[in-house]
Amino acid sequence: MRPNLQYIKQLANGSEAFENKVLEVVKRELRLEISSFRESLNKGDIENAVLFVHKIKHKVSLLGMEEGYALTAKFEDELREGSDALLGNFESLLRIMTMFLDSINTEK
Amino acid sequence: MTCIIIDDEETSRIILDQLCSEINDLDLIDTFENAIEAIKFLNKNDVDLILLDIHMPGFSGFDFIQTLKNPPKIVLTTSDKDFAIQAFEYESVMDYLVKPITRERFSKALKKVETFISQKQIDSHVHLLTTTTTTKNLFINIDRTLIKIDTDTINLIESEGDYIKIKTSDKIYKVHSTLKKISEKLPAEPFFQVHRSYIVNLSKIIDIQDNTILIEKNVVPISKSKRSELMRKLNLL
Repeated sequence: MRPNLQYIKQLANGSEAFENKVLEVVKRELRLEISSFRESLNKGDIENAVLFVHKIKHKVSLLGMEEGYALTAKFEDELREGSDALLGNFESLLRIMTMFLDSINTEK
Repeated sequence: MTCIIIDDEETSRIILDQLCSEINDLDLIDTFENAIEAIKFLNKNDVDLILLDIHMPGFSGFDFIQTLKNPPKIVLTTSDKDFAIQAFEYESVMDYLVKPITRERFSKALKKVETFISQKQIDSHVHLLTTTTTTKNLFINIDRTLIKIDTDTINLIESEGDYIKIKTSDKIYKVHSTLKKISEKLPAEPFFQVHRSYIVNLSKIIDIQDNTILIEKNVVPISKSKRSELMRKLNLL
């Protein structure tokens, strides 16, 4: 379950500026979405938590993580039904994504 | 072809913006992070296409489609594969793109919309040609009575709030309608909208002075933006 920049690089078509711009926004939005997801879950606001899982799912797919996408989709469905059995796996996925994004310098 | 993007995620908006910039003849007018702002915009502006996210907090893409009386063509964008069947229940939905959207898939969707719009324009042009040659009479509803007006007798039509006034030489009919609606019913010639509040019958013009037209005793203003088109339509010596 390793993230990659294949899709973003394809989209950027060689433009480093565009690539950095997308990555900056992904980093910023993902950070906010993760913290909003955790906050909603802690408050018991499942509907909102599901909404943020959905948003995060897009970032998972942007980073080319097919297994991660399947996991997030399943977690989203189960959470909607009230089960957080996959929370641990999902948190691991979030950690992998944030570590990967933090390792990229977008201020070139 | 003009379009707008509605998506609550900035990442999606940036990506779609980039994909739009690569399509010839596609003019991205604006982007919106929620449907409400987009509705306000669409109340005042027309677009050919909306790139619409389904999942948005409070007001989903499907809610948004249902609020539009005459929706333009819509291409849905979503991270879910499960809404395709529901999506195509809406006549205005032309395609359904699952994120992350590739350049090739986006281009294919846009081609589909473009082809549809071009065909529709040809059809409506043909329809207009057919109807304008035959539609000489217009029926208006006043106090539950349908009154027939020969369009040749109309001097001008003036908008006044929620009403329009249809002026002939001997009568003024006040009808609850808009200039836009009546212009669709009038023959293309000899009627021309010279101002946001006036449509005139060009064959009834007595004279044009500065930025005004005289038709019988009515002085009608000409918009700056309409003046040159009006001049082209007149048989100038």
